[in-house]
Amino acid sequence: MTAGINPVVRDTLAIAFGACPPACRECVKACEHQRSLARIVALDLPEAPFHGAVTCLQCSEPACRDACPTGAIAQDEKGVTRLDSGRCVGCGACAIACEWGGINFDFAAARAFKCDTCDGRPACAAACPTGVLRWVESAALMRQYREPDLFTRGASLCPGCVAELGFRMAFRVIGEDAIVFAAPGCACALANGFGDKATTRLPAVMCLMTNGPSIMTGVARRLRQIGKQTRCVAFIGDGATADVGFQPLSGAAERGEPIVYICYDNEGYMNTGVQRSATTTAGARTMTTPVGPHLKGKTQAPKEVPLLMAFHGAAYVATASIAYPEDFAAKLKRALASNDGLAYVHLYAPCYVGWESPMDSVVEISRRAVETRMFPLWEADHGRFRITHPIARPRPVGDFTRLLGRFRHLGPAELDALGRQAEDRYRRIEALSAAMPLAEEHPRQ
Amino acid sequence: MRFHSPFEGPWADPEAGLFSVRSGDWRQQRPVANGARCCRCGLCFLYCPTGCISDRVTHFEAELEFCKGCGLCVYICPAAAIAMRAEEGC
Amino acid sequence: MAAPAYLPQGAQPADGLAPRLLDGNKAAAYGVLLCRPDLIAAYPITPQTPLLEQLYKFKADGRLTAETVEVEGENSALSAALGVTVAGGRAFTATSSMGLTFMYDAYLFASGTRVPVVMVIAMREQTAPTTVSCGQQDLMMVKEGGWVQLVCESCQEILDSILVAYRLAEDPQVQLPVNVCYEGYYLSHLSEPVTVPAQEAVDRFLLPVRDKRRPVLGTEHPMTFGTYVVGELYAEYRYKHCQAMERAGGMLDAIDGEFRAALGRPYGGAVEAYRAEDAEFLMVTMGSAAGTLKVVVDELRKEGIAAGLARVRMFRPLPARELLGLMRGKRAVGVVDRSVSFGWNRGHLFIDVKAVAQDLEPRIPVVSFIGGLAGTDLRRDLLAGAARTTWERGRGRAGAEVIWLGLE
Repeated sequence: MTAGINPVVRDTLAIAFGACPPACRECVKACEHQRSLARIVALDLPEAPFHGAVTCLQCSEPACRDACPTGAIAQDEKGVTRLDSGRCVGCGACAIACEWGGINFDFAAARAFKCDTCDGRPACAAACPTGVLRWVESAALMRQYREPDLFTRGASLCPGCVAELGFRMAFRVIGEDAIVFAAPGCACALANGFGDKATTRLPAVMCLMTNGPSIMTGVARRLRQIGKQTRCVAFIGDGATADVGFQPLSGAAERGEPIVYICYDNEGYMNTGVQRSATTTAGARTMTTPVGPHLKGKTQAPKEVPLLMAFHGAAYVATASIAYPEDFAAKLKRALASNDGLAYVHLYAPCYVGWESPMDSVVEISRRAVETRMFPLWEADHGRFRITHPIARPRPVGDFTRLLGRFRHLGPAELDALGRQAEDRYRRIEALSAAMPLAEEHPRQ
Repeated sequence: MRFHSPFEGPWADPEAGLFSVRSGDWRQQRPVANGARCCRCGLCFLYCPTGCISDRVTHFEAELEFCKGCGLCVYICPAAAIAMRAEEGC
Repeated sequence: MAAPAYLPQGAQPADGLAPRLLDGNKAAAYGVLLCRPDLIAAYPITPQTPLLEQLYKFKADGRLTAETVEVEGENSALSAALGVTVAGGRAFTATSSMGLTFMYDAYLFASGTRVPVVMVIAMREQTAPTTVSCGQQDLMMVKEGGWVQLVCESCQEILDSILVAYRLAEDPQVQLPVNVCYEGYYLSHLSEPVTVPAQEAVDRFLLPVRDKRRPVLGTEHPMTFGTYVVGELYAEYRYKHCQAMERAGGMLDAIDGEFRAALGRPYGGAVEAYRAEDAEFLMVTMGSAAGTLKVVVDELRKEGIAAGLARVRMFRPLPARELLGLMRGKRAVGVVDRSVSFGWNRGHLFIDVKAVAQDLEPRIPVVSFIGGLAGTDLRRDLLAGAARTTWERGRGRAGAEVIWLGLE
């Protein structure tokens, strides 16, 4: 099993390299405002083309420190590399040693200077209008995902699979006092075992596509009967959730069974080779909604299962994304804490194989779906709603669709329609959040 | 009769060891970490779909027996401390 | 000492031992109550519904402590029942006809994963054409499903068979789900004198579920239930399943002995033989029609015709050895079925009996009688006709292999 995370994990400035809009200098302005001399450089190279922000990355073994002849550069206990200008002689060795352009030089004073992360509150990230610069509070994040990984590492899922990733992330939050329930689909390879061998150290049940919530009902009732706090947690795909298995899920929600049901939504039957499901986005090409002279992908809008669950008596409902891990972890904890009914978490799970995108793209797709309002992040507690990650200025839907080959055939009119569907979905949640608001300070937190 | 399973039905005991495929054999490219540049944020550990990134004390590194070479660690690394290199013969 | 759970408040245990008038569904409900299940999950369907209602009445009265799940369908009923069983509890469910086919995937799952759950089938015709009337066709739709299947003749046997079913299902040598089957209306709604045993006697016969040896789902010893299996291991589980079926068949005699010791009533194992020993020919059936056939056998005996009856009590595993022994030396066998096998165009039990009869030397005629479909009465005159036809076949008279009683 993978070793637990080392406590010296550090908060860090995450930069999406080369993703800045041309001529944007908001980060530089913010840094100048804070520190007079900017410790971040906006590189605008239209001929490359390259538009990006460059600053110190706070290396764990900084070459600048090793190159400094006077010992002016040192790491503090938080891993931030600091430069003591009093000891700097202005030789420039650090700037030469840093292959990343992370050292700035004040020619007037003949002294080097550099980013110190504004002591963990970087002004640049706060000012960045595009999300290129983000301050990642890794230390806190890793505390959310601290549980050991109890699943086999050699699982037969595609490289870069978001279902595998989401499964591991979820149980790094959920922990060991749980029974995991799987059903036929991609992710079951992590829980259903193979032959006489298990694939997880958690107690696990491989259900049918048609009876997961019902088997869970029996197990959960038994656990309650014998006084156990152990939670029954499903990690099941959209086919078994929205289509063939919807009836037992509906029944379990209506009865208020104390189970946690995570649906990983890859919008189709990916394990059988990419066929459409009820949750497939309109317009998407799949093997059963192909594109040709007579067909143009899926014609229906997706079934909004999380909303259906919220209108179904579920105690807690949330949508979640791996691109927003703090939000995902918080929602899982709320789901685990809600013991008076079914908790449903709908995890956005882009399948790069079926959605026709590169192998390392699932995080980017996930983030873009939120930024374009294609997939709003919200939660509902006993019918009271809250958008957990409001998108004030959505990116155009084309920023999302262009990542995915399955939308390649859509023309401007069809993209407009897709955008309107997304807007409607978002506004519906907005309206519910306004009419039936859930206080941000969650009562159970 | 020679039986493989001690159980009457399809049960499995993880005490007997977990089933795993040698998924590292699928890999066409491998992640190579520049330990000095690693900023120790842990995001590659969190985002590795196979859970094969471990803490090598100075930096995070993939265990190649299971790494499938998806490159998500490269995408997620805020310090550009990981790069993918083609496996020989790929 | 508190009065046993099955007695009305204030009644003394001795009162409970006098027979009372119960219909088949109520008798089943008392059987379930006495087995102290941990969970009951069922979906209402005619003619099983009054059984379900009686269990809820027990719960309302505080006599039944089981969890109850008002599921949204039959597949969920069986799935919830198997969930609690996998987690170490004892569960009960019941259904009929279309409910049974609607739980077909969970039905096969329960047996293939070796979950010892007990389920009543209040037998009914299988739609279509649409009907809610009695028949055995629903049971026949699942006869290859890998469950042990007991078929009852009387309301008393229904109650007793529930106890036997749990004893059999949970035996470490068996670990199989068990059906207790009885015909809709003819038994489910028929009131007969039934002795409700004392709880202490039942507790002597049926150990608490916690004392049973089998894998249990939980965090104490985390295990995976329902693994993905291919190849030789699959054959191993199939082989073990068949072996467990064999053991279940072989065990029924012994369990009947335990039952007699604890509760006083004898049952004759997997096949009940009625005046079969010295019979010239043998009628074979299962379920409520056996009672009428016993009367027919008695009447024919008075006429000097040596009729006999074999009532199949355990349908799966098929008691082939017992049937063969009873058929040996007979001149003909007639099988009365309340179901049809499409394609064979015969009764289902007939097919089994005919297959077993291949081991007889010399070969004897085996005749299929189909009747009683959709609740039509298997009247005494119809069954007497069937018996006479079988007797004549044994004396050399030629005729069709299948006869539809009442149609021909």
